[in-house]
Amino acid sequence: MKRSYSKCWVLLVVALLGTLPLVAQSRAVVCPSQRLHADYAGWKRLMPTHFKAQYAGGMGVASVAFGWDYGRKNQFETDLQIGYLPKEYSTQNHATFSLRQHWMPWNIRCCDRFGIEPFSCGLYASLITGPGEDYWMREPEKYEGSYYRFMTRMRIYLYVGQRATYYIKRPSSALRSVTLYYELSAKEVDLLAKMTNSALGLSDIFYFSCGVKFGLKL
Amino acid sequence: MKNLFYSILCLFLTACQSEYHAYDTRIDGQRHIHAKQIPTIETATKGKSSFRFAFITDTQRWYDDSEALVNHLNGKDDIDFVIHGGDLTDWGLRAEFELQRDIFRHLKQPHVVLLGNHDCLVTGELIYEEIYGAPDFAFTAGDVRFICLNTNALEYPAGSNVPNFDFLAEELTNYPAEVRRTIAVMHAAPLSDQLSGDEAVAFHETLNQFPNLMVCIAGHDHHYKVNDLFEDGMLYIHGASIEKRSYILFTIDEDGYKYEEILF
Repeated sequence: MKRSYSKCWVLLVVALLGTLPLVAQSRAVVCPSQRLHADYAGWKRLMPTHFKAQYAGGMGVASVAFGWDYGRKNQFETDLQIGYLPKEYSTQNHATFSLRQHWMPWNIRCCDRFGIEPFSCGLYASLITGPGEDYWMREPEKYEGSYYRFMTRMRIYLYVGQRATYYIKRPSSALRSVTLYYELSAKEVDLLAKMTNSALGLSDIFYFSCGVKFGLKL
Repeated sequence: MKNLFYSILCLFLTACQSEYHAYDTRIDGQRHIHAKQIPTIETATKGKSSFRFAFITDTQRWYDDSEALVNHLNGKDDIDFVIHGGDLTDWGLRAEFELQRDIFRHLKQPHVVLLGNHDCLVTGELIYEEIYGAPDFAFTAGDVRFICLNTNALEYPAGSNVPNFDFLAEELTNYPAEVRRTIAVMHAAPLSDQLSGDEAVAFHETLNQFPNLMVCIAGHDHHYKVNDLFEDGMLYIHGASIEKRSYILFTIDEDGYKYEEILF
């Protein structure tokens, strides 16, 4: 049952393996200050550090997010993301609201203005708007307790991906950086199905999404 | 490195599937399957008074067992067609429909699929209709009319026309002249959690109006069993869910029908 686009897994492996030598040297070449927000102090630490726009990922056709970088080398991100699923792909227009947690363990500087994050991963929960009889957190009373034993309104996703960043050095720019990224995400129900079905390939349960992140300068 | 990254990104964009939402209705691949499969069944059995069909049901989430079933049935040369009793999916997700569809696409026999209660969740019925067709449908095999019905009344608001008595009335009115016997197929039998009370009784009485109703076939309960639900001699034969590696083989001949649970 492996789908024809299973070649994307080959590409992912090649892409990740290709960056391993860079990861091995990363201590020598990483410029940690590129991911730091040294000028953030006081109340400004509460301000979002970035803005994102994303295609797909189970949060609608398109979504936008704001969020915060943090950690010793800004290796963590937390985003609040709002998406839109038009009625062409459902019974009505929907909004989605997602809380996303990211981890990018490595940041490799390729030249003065360019860097890559060869591996990113994360977890997110996504809620969708819609009528309560269809989209529920707890099953409607007509099922007399619990029949389906899951929720239709919220899905939980796991993802892996990669990023490339261009650092803007111009002092007058409102942007610190622009990052292109892609993610391959799988939802919890598919991961559970994969555990009990060898017929399911990884390409049957992982879905592609991509986006752009704008690092803000405050 | 920069060029390499962009090249990989472009390849991913063209190589991978994307998902707008778990319940989006953007179907990828084969659609309107009944429009092709039903004429194949009718043509292959035309003029016959004896034929065989396999009844399978409740394959949700059991992809390994579903594949094993397809391999098993493909090794049989004496089965004319396959009826799936519904619940292709566990959660009504588009991806589940597509994965199951792509497994049963490899059946060498023509097949039809009924709508199960799990398939009705959220946008599931829309996806089912796009991939297979209307949830109430009928076809003729030999001299037998198969009436296939959506009986998942609990999944619809009160007052909905499920089961569809209008469809049943229309089928009774336009019953083909060359047909002399009837088999009713549904996902949930009457008196189940999906179809209960007076509606279940009315449903059963309507089915009994069809010419020479032979037997009623259902899934939903995940166990193989045979019940005379209304104690009037009309049997409801239930198929087991696929993880039990079981299906029912029906043989139709001039004298009536025989059935046998097959374990594979």
